[in-house]
Amino acid sequence: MRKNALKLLALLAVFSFIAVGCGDDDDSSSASSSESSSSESSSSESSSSESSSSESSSSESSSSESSSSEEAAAEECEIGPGVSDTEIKLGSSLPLTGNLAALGVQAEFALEATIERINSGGGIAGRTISLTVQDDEFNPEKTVANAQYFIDQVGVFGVWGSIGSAPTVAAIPLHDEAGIMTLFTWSQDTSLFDREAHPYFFSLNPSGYKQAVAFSNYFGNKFDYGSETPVVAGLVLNSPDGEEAAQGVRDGAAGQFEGGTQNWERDATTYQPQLLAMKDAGVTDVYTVVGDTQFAQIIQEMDQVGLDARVWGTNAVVTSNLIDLVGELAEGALAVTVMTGLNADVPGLVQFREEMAAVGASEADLSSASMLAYSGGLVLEQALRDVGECLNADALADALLALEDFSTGGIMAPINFDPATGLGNQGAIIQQVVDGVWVTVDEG
Amino acid sequence: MAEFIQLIWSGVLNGLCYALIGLSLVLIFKTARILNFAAGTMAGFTGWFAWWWATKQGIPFLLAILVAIIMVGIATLLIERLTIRPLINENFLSIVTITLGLEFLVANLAINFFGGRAESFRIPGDIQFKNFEIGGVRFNWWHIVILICTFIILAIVGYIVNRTELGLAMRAFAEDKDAARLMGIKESTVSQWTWTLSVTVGGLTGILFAPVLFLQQDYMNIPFIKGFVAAILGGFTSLSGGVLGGLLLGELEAFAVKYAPRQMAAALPVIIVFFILLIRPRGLFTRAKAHERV
Repeated sequence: MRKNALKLLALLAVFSFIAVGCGDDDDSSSASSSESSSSESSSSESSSSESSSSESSSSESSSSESSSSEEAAAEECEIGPGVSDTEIKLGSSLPLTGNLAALGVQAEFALEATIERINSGGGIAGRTISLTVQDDEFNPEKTVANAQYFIDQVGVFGVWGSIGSAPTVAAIPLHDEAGIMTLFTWSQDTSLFDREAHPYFFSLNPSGYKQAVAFSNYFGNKFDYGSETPVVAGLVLNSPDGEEAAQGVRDGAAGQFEGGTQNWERDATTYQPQLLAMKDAGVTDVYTVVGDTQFAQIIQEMDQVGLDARVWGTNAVVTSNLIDLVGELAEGALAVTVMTGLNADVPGLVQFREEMAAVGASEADLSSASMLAYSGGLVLEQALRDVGECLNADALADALLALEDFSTGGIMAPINFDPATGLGNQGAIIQQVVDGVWVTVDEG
Repeated sequence: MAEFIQLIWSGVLNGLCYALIGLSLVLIFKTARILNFAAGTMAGFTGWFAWWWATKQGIPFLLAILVAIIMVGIATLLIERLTIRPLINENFLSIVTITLGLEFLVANLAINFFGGRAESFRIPGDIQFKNFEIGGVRFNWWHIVILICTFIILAIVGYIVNRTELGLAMRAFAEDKDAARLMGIKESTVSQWTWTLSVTVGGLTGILFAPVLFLQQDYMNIPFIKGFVAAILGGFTSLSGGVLGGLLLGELEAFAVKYAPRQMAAALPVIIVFFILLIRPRGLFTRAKAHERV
């Protein structure tokens, strides 16, 4: 029995030598690589060896070196969610249906124009931008659902260019929790402008309070209202936002509303009763915080009730749609904005018009909404280029904060982000409808 | 005094809108006991449709309105036949659900067909931008047209309900459905013409108020809610009650803005309506039926 076993072992040894010898004759490189691996494996099987153990240990050490270098590299270059070697995923929740659908569509064109510019130029650090747009109908509940979708299903790096205070306030806790950016939304709620609470929130649109202060300062310090004694009244939404805007006017140089403050409700049919109260109070200037269609209705109703006063709006009213809606009645309407007028002769607007046209936008799509989204795109592009390969939320935040006097080609004042608030645009521009178009009358 | 009259007039304008929408709702509810949640959206769609014919197709203003009303009327006949009538003897909630579905359907049709941008419905001569004064009170010409048209609509609806066979059948169904059936009145006929009449009243309201509110995707939704409150205030089964409820609500809103603290101004009319209904649950303008009183 033992003899048979020894014979069997001897035979196996012979066959193994023959197999090794045959293998040596084969000189193809691929086979040699397989040979070496089989040799390694056989050597380990036959335990012949130092060489194999040294190979093995060198292989281990090289793999541990490579993994430690990868770890080190990873530590040095942490990549954020939604970022791969070839792509940066972004999301945008916009009102594409409902009352503010026009603004959503305009903003979407601007986002597309930005992406087209970046991607057609080869992307940034080898990555192209991909954007997922979801309709929120300006409904905060839908914005929250969209945020969840962006985070869980799409896996975005950030949410960009969304519209509205209430929707953004509702969704931003989800963004913060997921560690994703909230970039260049059109929202004015003061609570958003706090980088301790929202470290990845960056905006080019000041809060409603700051815009109201800007109006008040301009009105109190610079506006020439002739020899008349101005009586300013506010027409603001009956909400905390509206109250903040009213407070902003009181805190600025214009001071108290001599003509009182009137509230409007989201479910208002008309504004005539409020405007009549202002007429009775002898109001000369009405400061409103409304959208362009509501602004048009207010202008029309001021005429109907005989309230002969100047009417002031914010960014949201600077649209060609306003002039289409009320025609000549819009003449003289004023707005305190954060961007230049559409007819200003600045290079940024020329580029804006060209890029918007290239993605199929019409003249009516050139508005505050699209200019704001487009300007955000310019800033984002620069910050992404500054960050380079190691893109994560902290790196982008640092890059944004490091921007100094970034130029949007004259669309906005030079951009410098405030580390405390995340607001980059500190300028105020006064526009007025003159001969049927919005023109810049003062740079604030 | 002029300021006071001006305030009343501004309340009248809003009130007329609520009154007509309230009338549209009461017409269907009184006859068929159906709440039409699509009333506001259908009214708005008619306004958009008339604008489309007038502005995009270039047909004369009055003809555009006529074409829009006729086409929406025909669509209503079809909708009633295909969606409402099969459920006419089913439970209340089924039909309410159908009207909610209609609301979504019509709203989506409107956004896809007319787009999301607000539009101005320009009247020939731009009379919505022309005003005149009498004794210090300022009036807008288009608002006068709205007032006149409202009276004409009320007169026509009143005539149909009180002086025609259809109206008699509607009143019979409103009074006692089973007895009306026993008298040989066809429920399907009453249902289809009541729907058509109601949607026509709503559609005309949508057209009349398009130059006031501007054409937006859901510009008649808020008047629908106010019209609903007006109908409740009026009693929901009284045609004149729905109209008077609308006018009362319009005046309450106007005077609340003028005299109530500003944070309360919006809520006050609804609070007043709440207390009125606590005192008179049937509404202000409905009497209890004789047998109920007995």
